[in-house]
Amino acid sequence: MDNLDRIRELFNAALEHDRSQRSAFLDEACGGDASLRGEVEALLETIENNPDFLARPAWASCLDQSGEKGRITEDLEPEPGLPFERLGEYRLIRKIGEGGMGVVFLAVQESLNRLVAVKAIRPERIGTFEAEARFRREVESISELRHSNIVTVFGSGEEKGVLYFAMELVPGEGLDVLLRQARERDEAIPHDRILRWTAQIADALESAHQAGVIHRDVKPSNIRITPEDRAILLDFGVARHSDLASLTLSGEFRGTPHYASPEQVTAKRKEIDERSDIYSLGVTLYEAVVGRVPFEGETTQQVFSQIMENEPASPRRINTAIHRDLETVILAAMDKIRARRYQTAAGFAGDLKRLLRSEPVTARPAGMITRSARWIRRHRFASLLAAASVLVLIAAATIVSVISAQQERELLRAEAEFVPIREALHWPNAVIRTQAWLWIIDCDSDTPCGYLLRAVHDIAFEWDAFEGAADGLKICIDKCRERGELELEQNARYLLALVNCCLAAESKDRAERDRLLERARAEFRAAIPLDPVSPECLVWQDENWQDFASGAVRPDPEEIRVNKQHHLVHLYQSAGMLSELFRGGHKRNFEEVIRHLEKVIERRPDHTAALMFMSRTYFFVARFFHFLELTDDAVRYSERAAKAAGDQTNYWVSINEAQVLLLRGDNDGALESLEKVSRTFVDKKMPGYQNVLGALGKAHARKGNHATALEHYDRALESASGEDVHVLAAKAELHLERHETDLVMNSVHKTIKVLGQMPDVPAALYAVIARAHFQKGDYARALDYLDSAWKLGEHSPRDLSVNVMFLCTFPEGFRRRAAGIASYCIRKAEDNAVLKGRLSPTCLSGLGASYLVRKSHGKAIENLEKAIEGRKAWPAVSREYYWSENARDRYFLVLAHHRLASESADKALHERKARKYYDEAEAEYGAKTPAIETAYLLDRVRAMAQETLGIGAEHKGE
Amino acid sequence: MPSSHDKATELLLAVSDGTDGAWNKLLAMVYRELHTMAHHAMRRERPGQTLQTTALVHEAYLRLVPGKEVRWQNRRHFFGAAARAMRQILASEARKRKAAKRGKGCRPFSLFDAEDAADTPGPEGLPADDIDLLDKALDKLGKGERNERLCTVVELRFFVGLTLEETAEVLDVSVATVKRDWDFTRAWLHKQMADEGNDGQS
Repeated sequence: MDNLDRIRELFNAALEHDRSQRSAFLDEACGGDASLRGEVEALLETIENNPDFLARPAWASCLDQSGEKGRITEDLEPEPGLPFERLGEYRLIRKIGEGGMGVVFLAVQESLNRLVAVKAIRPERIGTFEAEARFRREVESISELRHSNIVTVFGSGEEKGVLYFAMELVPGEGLDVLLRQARERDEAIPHDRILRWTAQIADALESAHQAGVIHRDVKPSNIRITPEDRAILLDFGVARHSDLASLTLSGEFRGTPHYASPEQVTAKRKEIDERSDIYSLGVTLYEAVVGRVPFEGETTQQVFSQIMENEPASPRRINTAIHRDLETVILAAMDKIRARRYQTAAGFAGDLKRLLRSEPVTARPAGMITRSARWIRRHRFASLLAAASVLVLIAAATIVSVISAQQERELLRAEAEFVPIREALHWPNAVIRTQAWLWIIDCDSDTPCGYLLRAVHDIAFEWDAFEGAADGLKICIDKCRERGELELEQNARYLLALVNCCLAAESKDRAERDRLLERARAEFRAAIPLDPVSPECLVWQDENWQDFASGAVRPDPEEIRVNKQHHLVHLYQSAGMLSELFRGGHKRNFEEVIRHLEKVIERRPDHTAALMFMSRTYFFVARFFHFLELTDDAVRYSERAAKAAGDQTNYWVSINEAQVLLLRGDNDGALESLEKVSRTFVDKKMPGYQNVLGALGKAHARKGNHATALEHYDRALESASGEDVHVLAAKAELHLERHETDLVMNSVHKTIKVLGQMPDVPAALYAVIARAHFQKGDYARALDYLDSAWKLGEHSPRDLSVNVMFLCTFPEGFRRRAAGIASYCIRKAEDNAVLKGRLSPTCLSGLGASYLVRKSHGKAIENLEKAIEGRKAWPAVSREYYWSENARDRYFLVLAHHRLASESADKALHERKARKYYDEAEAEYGAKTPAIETAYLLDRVRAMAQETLGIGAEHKGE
Repeated sequence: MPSSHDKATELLLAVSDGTDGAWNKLLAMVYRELHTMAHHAMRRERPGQTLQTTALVHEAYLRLVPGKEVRWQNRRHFFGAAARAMRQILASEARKRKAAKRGKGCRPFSLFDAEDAADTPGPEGLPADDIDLLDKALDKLGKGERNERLCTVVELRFFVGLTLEETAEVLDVSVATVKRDWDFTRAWLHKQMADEGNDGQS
């Protein structure tokens, strides 16, 4: 390398020479140094042979596909009358836009010879402090952002007191212009396009929000659509750094009135955050889709008062072509209350993308949360264990799913807001975690206390740190009280009672033990009225629990500590999980609950509450999936519980037993067990006696004693001040069965009146309404109601399957839409219908029916046959009562085989099978009465089968 | 806002005053900036956008060193740092791509002007897009103090994409000098890479 300088010298000198003279030059210059000469010659040869080596800059091919397009070749003549000829290195060409603060020019950046947009402060604003501060703010905000949907800033400066910055020149039109053109031509922009633009802007906002910048003036005129159909967010003129609140010099409104969020209207500066941008983008989406802004007015003040006071008109009311989910998304983004909007632009973008892919969105119809929460609180006591409690379960599931999604968002937000303690929230040490939550909950009134409670729970049972847990729980109880979170308060009190018991078990001092146990009892007593029928409450109401509490005083604290404490914990944990099971149908908890309860029962084989619990667990799972064979276990444990309860007639045990028997179709057994308690409960009008009446009504209705059934229903209603929605629904169903459509509607309307507004009506009731409309021949409205029903939340696979089968019987002309809803339902059902690798017969029937509609006849047959096979595992009594399920499936099979006959080679075989299934079904149809719940479906499907086979309809009993 | 602007200007002044470690700090800062910008540039889907490395470096300069009063010296140091940073970015990108799978998808480099030479061996049997080899050759060349400028010329010309004139302006030397340095260095690098490549293959 030492002679590199020499080589270079010679190389350069040789290049100066003509090629022909180089050799002579090198001879002379190198003297006798052959190796030096060789090196120089090799290099000369290299450059001769590879003249273009490295000539094209790296990355040119990848980074700049357009080659030199960015550069300008022709001369652009500046327009006369511009306020400035040039600003820095930018030569201004003409004015291309202006706003309140600045003027935008087309300009040439001379160093790069490219066209840019230059924004300069308005001449009349020069020198005004606030204007300049805002202008600087815009430059700062925007130049930190790098996103493909946000305009890029190239540079900024100040020339002769004029502030300016240069940004990329975004080709295309403003969204406001596009919307106006569409309006004028009376054309609609396809929703897909609008959704893509909005999703891109939401992504852009997310990136800005991540960088701490709030745009504060999102509106169509600040969104540009490029010729490639990309949406670019412009104009951060009123943007603000979320950490620089003081820079906002006055609370005065900044922005455009129509797109302002309520918090911007009231100029609550502290409340303007990322969610204000989400609101404004929501309004923009509303305008793009609906064709006008949601709130109009002649003056800014009028617009403002509307923004504050009025709900936007439902987009679907203005334009029915708008998809229901799109409406939901728009209204969710525009909610007047920030906490109910999308909490992040990413969340908004996510739902927009889901809409584009036709996937279900995360947002729920507006107002659902609060209204159903109110509703559930009002009705829970009267109805949790009522015969038709599936309604409550569905409503509860709705709330749980909505709230948990919201809590999740709140959690994310809380984390974002309290960065320093974010780490602590995930700390393995529950004590630290609790502290962190405590701190957050103290600071942020929106964060639910549930997190704190969860952390405290962990302290107690993962760490056995009962004292610390007791302190945490007391704080938790206070917080819940303050905020009116009743259920959480109840949970916290139960936990505190439990913790006191555990402390008592560990204590060696007798007086101390008594004191702790007394405190436990006090907490327990205070907890009950908060939510008297929660599953947790069932455990604690049990006499055995009191035994346990006293048991802690027995002399062997070690035994108590090891055995009893854990059994209580198991019971408590299963109670918690069972309540989740109640609400959300989380099947994964099912086995866990059983495991916990088995441990308890192993130690205390006569523990009434545990046995009852076990029975209810099996009952819920059996009903949720419709695996009726599981009712065997439910009955077994229920009997054990009744035995353990002894002579004392226990209301809960009896009503549970009746419900299990009703589910499995043992109506006589149910009547018997109900009559056992009806005298005591109904005559004395003890709390919950309406449930007994409701269940009695149901049992009688099933046995065909319609008059008695109605009598019971009416008695229940009259005494329950007409508020029990489940009894009302059961009554409506009975009327439906009797084809008393007007009475159904009457009943339903009464229900709706009770529930207040339509959105409150629980899903199963929608199905009843749908059936009423169907009966009246109003198929379109029937479909509307079914469509709404499945949107209301988590349904049991069984309910969904029944709905699918119903949908499959809609007349031609409605079948396409019905099939659409059906296939959605079945997908939803399939997702969580599998228990231990199996689908229940009811789900298989639903699947089969939906395949029938989709014309996959082979698959339909396969599933329907499996369904019939699966019912063989049902208890005899269920097979007897629900015989019509098999008959219905056979009629479905008739349809499938008949259709296959026309397209398959083996025509005769399928015709024979169709006939065989028909005859089998008919044999039973003639001999038995169908179960009241399934009769309507049976008749519909039978009629379809007969029509297909060309058999004249013959009605039963004719 | 106390921003990276002030810091960049400060660092530039420190570099021209010869403060220890200032150049490395400047390089790190410019590297970060350019890396982010290049990353975004790569992901941009808008055609017609000027996405050359030249523009990136200019933009970085405008972003980091605002105002007109910055001395000429500073521009030189800045571009020197930016060119080095760009080389590091592209070389590491090249290694990543090479590791992932060479010749698949977008062909990132046109090191040789041979048409579509992505995976076909060039006349010397070199893999055409091997920027990694170039990077190593430059390292070897740059070892001698006096050859620093030769490296910078290549960095400015090839990695940033400056013209001969622009390079001369940045380095404050004559165009002829740049031309001479450029030809020699190219020849040397090519030969070096060819030798390396042959070694590697044998």
